[in-house]
Amino acid sequence: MTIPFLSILLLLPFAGALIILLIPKQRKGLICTLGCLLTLSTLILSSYLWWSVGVIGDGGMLFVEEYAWIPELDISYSVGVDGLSAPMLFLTGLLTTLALFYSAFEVQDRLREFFVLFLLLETGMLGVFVSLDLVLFYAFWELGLVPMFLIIGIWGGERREYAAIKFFLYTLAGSVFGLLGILAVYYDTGTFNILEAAALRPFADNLTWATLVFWALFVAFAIKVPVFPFHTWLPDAHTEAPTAGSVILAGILLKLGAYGMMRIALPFFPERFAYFSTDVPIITVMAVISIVYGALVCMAQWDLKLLVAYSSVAHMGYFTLGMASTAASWPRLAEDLLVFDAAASGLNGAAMQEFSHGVITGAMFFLVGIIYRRAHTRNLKAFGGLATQVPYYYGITLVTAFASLGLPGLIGFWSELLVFRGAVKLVPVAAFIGVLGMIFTAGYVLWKLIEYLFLGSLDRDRWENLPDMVWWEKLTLWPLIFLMVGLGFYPAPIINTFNGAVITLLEMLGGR
Amino acid sequence: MGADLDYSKRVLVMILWRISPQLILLATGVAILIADISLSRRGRYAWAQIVALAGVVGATVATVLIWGTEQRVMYVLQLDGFTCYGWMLVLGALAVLIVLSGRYLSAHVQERGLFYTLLMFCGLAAFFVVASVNLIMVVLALDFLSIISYILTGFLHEDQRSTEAAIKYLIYGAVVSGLMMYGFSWLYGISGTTDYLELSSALQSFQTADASVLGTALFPLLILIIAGFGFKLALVPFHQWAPDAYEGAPTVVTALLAVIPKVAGFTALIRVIMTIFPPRLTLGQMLRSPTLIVLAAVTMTFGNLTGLWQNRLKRLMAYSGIAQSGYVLMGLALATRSGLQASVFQLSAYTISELGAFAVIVFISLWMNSDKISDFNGLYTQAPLLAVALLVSLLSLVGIPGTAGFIGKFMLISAAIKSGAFWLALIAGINAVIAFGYYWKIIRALFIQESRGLDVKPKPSAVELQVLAALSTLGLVLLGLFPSLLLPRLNSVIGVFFPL
Repeated sequence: MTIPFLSILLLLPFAGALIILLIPKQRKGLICTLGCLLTLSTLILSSYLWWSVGVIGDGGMLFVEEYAWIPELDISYSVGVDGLSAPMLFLTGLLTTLALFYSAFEVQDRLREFFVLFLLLETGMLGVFVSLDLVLFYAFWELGLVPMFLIIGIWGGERREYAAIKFFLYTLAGSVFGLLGILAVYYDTGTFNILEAAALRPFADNLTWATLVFWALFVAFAIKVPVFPFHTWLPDAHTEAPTAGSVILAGILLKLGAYGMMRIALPFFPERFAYFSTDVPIITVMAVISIVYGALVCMAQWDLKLLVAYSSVAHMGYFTLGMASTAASWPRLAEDLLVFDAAASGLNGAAMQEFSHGVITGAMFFLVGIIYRRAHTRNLKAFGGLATQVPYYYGITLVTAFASLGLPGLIGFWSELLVFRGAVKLVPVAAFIGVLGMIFTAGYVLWKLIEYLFLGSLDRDRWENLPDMVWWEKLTLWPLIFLMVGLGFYPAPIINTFNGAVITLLEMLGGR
Repeated sequence: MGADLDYSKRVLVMILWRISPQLILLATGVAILIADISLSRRGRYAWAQIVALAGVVGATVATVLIWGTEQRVMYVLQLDGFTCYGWMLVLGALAVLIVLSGRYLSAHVQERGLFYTLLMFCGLAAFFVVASVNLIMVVLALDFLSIISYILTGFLHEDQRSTEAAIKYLIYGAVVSGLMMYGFSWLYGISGTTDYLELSSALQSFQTADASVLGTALFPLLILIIAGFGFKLALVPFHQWAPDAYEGAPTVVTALLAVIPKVAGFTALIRVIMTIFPPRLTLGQMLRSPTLIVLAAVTMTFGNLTGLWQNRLKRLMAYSGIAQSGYVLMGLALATRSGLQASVFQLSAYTISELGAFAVIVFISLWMNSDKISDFNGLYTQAPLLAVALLVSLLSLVGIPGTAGFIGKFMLISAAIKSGAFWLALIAGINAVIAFGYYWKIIRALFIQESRGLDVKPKPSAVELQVLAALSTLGLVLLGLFPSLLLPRLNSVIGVFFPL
């Protein structure tokens, strides 16, 4: 009998949440230890999955489990993992572990509930990445919604209630469209299985319906990513959420939308995706606006957390550009090898961007949380000259910031390189304008982030006693820094994993 | 001669056996009434609660025993799987209401014996509504149910709001009941029968004669009939009584108004639609589309939008109840097998959610003697179990995965798309988002805001309410994760209307 690794992976945090609920809330030490150990075990398990996919994977699904769940409605519990999802599982495990470890020290109020909600949230996120059934995917997608809503609402900043409800309503509205799309696909193809439905190409012979259903699904995912103009919930939610919440929001939750685009929107409707990326280039334009507009908005921010939040809009714009360029290749995918190569590059870049943005922005939000807890302000104008006062913090932030602007040798470089390598060939105009975004990014990172925080003269009266990072903060950041540098110098493990699945997907799309 | 007597005796026994659930409810109600009159009025009335509960258990056993028989009883009642399922829902709700009301009544009311009598009669009336297949029977049964509802709504006769609510409810109900009866008299006038099946075949023969004349002439009739049911189900625009009645009624009666008329009304409406106006009739098609489909869309949208402005919990639950009626109506309007199955599932999920929510609301009303949402502030820190139970009930009403409400909504939307009513599916989906806009007020009070009095006043020791809340949560999650526990059964229940 094979071991049902994925079910174990999903069950660990879920059962953990229930167990922690039974611990008396005074026993904070036990709650923290157990919570962190549980997420750590999901991290270890997901590392094993990634390793397996990398070593024995042939681009297809591994560790597949399939059981009838609601046979009356044709819904099955079917899960599997491939190169697109394995690194995301790892990222989920990693960021949740770090977030809980960090929160064990930071969160004072209602610690037990915080841990329970976080573990439920992790179940939902992991579930989305492993689902092979559309309804299961949807169920896990929504499962993550309620805990995150409560995390923002209970532990958030001053405008937390507004941010929480805005986040919830936006995402719920998106997922309603998603549900309608899923059902329409089901009635056309007769299956909820993601791989089978993709192979059957829903509504291939009905352009009107294909357009409608494609947009229903696309909008559901675009709100989550978020793609301009669906991004307006993001600054509020990211800014008001507690540190750990922002880390998970930006690090993983946005990627659920991204993953949905790769796994569902593109394979189901390659023709429509291509059409709206090239002939009527709405998606490409939205991607470019996200990049340029996002970066410009960052330049205008004085709130550090808001700046990092908007940088997510810009960076996920690269992802969307990667998707758009891959989609643009579709009509010529089968015949032209160069096009195939560029498409693979774009899709790999998009997938890589999912991962690297998660690592970088996760670190970024931790860093914001660290400075805010000490200074009680996030106003950039209040700072200056911190480089000498908190050199350790300066060093870590510098690495993260450079990774964010795509410096070679750090992880962000590879994703942007791959995205633009694909985009230049497939959507050249968009690529050209998008590159401007990189310049602006360098602008806000160097000018706003580095200069206003660290350079210039130090306000001695105010910051003289500002302490540097303590051990648990260092311990939270080091794994992320290690990934940025490690995969920055040697990206082969992750690119190879992604590439296996990307080639399989493109071959399926191109009909080779 | 002797053989004939023997035969008629056997028939009588058979009939009594078939209606034994009703007889048990009737006997229990009467017994409580007599005991209440003869015994001292200063008692603790625990006995009445126990007797009533025993009656419900007895009726449940009887229903389970006769489940599976398909038969006409006394010409006007139809006994089949669908009837029995409706009865079971009513009985479940009754049992919960009996347990729910004990402490609330002893805090507010003197005539507690009478309350349980009325509760039993309410169940009896609902039983007749569910089972009737005759116009006269259904009108009588609906009025019986309405009259008991009026009395119960005004049960706190020292409270002006309660009396006012009862009067409003009564006046509105009387008018609508008259309208429906007028509609039925048309039906009788053109067909000469009051039996559902005979009516259906009469309409069928008219249709073959001259379809178009019949269609236009009878359209007002449909509106009249829908008005009657729409009143019971609080469908827009026949809903105006609901917010006032919900708010003014004693909280335990509000719980009753939220479930029993809906269960009874919907099962009766399903039977009317599927037997008198089956889809093969032009009139049946007109009834479904546009009438019922538009009604469903309007009801859920209006209920949810108006709910956004409410600050009192019982009013809010009234609007939420209106919106939920709209969802259930969706499946009826589609009148497909999957649509009806979805409706009945949603109705069951709705019943459990409401009863769970009201267990918590009654608890708070014992605690704070109020139904303002702000009095729920900080419930989580004071009574986590209740807060989580209410959260799950509300999430189920929204339709979040993991709860029974999700499966219901999923099936409804799925059935709508299957029938090609994509815009109805879209409206239903968008409504879930709107609905969260007001359920959010409660969730915010429960989990986010600082308590405003809950921490000062002593917490009532109502264990039974906590148990009910926990059970409903369990039920909602169980049905949400494993709907296959119920779906095959529903399939056979609905199968009554789809003879092979």
